[in-house]
Amino acid sequence: MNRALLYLWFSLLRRRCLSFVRSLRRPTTLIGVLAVASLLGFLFYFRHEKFMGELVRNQSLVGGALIMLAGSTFKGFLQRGLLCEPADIEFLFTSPFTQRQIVMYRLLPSYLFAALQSLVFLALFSSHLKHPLLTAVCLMLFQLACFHLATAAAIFGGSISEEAHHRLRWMMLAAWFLITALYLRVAWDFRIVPAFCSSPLFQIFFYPALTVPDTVNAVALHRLALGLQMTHSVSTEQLWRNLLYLGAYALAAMGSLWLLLRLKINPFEAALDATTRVSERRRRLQDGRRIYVPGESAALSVRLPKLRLFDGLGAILWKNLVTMRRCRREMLLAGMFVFIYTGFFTALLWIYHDLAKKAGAATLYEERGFTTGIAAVLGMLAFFLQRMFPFDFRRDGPHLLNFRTLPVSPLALTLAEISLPTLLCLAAQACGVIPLIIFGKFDWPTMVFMVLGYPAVALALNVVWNLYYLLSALKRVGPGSSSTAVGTLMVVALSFLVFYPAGLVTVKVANHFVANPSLGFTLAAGAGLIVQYSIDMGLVLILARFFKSFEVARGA
Amino acid sequence: MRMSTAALQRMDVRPGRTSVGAKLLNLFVSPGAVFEEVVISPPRVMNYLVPTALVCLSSLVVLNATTNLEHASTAVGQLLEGEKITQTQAAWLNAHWQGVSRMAIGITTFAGVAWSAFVIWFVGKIFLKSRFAFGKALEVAGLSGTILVLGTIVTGLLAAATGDPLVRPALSLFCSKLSPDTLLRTACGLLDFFHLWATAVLTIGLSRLASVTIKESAFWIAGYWLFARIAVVLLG
Repeated sequence: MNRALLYLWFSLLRRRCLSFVRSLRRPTTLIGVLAVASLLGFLFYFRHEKFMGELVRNQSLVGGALIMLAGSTFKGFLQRGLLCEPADIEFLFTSPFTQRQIVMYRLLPSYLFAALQSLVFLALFSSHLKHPLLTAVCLMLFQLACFHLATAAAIFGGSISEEAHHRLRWMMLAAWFLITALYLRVAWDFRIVPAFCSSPLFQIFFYPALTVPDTVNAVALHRLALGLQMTHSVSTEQLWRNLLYLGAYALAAMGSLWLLLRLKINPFEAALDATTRVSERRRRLQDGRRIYVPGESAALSVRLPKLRLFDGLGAILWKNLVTMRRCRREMLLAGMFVFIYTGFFTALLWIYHDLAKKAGAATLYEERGFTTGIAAVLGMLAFFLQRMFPFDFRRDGPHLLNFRTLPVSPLALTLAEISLPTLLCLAAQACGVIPLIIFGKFDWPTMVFMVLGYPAVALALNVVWNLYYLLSALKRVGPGSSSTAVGTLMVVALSFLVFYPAGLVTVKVANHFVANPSLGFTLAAGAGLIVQYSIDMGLVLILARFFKSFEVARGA
Repeated sequence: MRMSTAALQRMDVRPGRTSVGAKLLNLFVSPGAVFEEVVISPPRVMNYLVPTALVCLSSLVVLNATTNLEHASTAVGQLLEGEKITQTQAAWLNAHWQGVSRMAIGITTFAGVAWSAFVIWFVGKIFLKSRFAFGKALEVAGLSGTILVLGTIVTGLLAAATGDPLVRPALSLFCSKLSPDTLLRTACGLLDFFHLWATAVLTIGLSRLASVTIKESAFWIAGYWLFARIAVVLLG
């Protein structure tokens, strides 16, 4: 290894570390890093648990090794050439370094990565291994071998023709498929090949490498013949009737095809129009915009409200209400979804109520448990409705700059923006709560918990989605970035995480009052609600802060 | 009419057009030449119909010698014990075992040729990015059946000589004392001499059809007709 290249690598490494630390100022990067750190912390905390030992069983290790080996060779081969920085090509390739020195230079980051990963492995799994240090060193060396193979495959892949590359790619894929099937069968006794494939009858798929008498003497084939055996006579009348049906339908199919082919209208113009319309619709859906409906564009203007509620900041609420009124199609869809969702659980509740009445009354504890379960499921409705009611910042992206000029505080405007979707979620949940109150059995603490808990859930979810929207809008300002499915997944994960502290507090408090469950539930629910509302307020403040420092407003 | 020198040279090296019978015989000694002729000749239905019909015929001839009726009735008895079939059905199966087998021979051989041709055509088109008609693949698969004809006759003769209907010209010949249901005997039975020969012939056929090297063709043909076949039996 050349010392100059070693120094260059070290300098670049230092600079990358610094830029990584700087990138932590971006909320999305910070969240990603925290997520990885949390996962590692979680694994480290539970490193002595049994499930961690399962991860380093021989079968798991062999599986992991196979994945690494296959992944590295395949990835390298697909890369078709050594992947370098543009600066490397410009400066290093023209410098007096040998080919080996440059290859080694490109491998140095991989070596560091392998060493760090082995250290993490040692820290997490040392308690489950007989020779932890030896295993960690072997893992590091194996990873190095994988990196070498990947590099060799990349260099080799780049040296062959496109056609040969295509063929070798399929060969590798087929070979790895066979190896995977073998591994799954031997290590986990998982049969990727169905049992009927081992029947001699299946050998027919390998003609001419078969023995015909073996194939035809298969019991499965003879059992099949049993099914074809005529067990009853078919009358001539029946036969003719069947033939008549068959003939009529065949005639209809052929006749309709004949008519279709005889049409003299030019189909291409209409096809172009339809294709453009559907493509536009798909593009708008991918961009997260409304689907354009021709009839809806000519929306009539609405009279100004007379209620004082819609004065001042209430105007934002009024604007969102008008938008909602104009989105009849989306609202109809959301209404149908709510109807089906709540209808299903109402029916379930009614059936339970009816069965309990017929079979004698169920115990109060059972009935309350069932009702509470339904109430929890209704609480989940808010998760599903988030994307159906985007009448908040998500619809006002282009107007945010104007909103900032209004003489109101960002917090008040934020609250005005998120009030409508929150109220809509609550209204949808109310559709399910009413039959729940009629048919279900509640004690007062549960009822109060439900009434106060639903707004907390709906508010938290709305704020999370709006935060995501503003964050992705911030991202879009930067070069070459866009909102992705990963981002959406992150929001969904975060939607659940914002309830974690409240849930934890509820459980901890409830555990202190095991002897008195009624008091325990009341106190735990109260504590949980307080924590959740505190989190909600914190999230609202963060949302207001984001709205205030929205980058589009600055740059525009 | 003027012809270029290259065209004249091509005409010189083109193999002469042979009959189906000659092709079937030549396949044992020089499959490469046979397939080269198939590739450049216009499609001929007889190239796959005749060998497939011969496979049917030879299989029908040796069926009695290679079928263990005791083994079959034991299998039927097991089905009856497991209440999977009724007494009447069991009696029907025992009575019509050979009849069903004969009928199945006709169907399975033609279906097998079509499937093998499809596999060859698919491998050529998708994995090897080569263009050839499905009919040509059908001819290659059909002609390769000639090995199977010989294999079936040898199996029949072997069974008649040893008196064991389950004996095969495979590695299992050396462990014939083992029960036919044991894994070792099944595994040994998969390494049949004629199966390997047929696989080699198919390899040559694909290499000629797709204009690829024998090594490349062998990867796919042996991968499917040898390794996948063994994997299907042993992993299933």
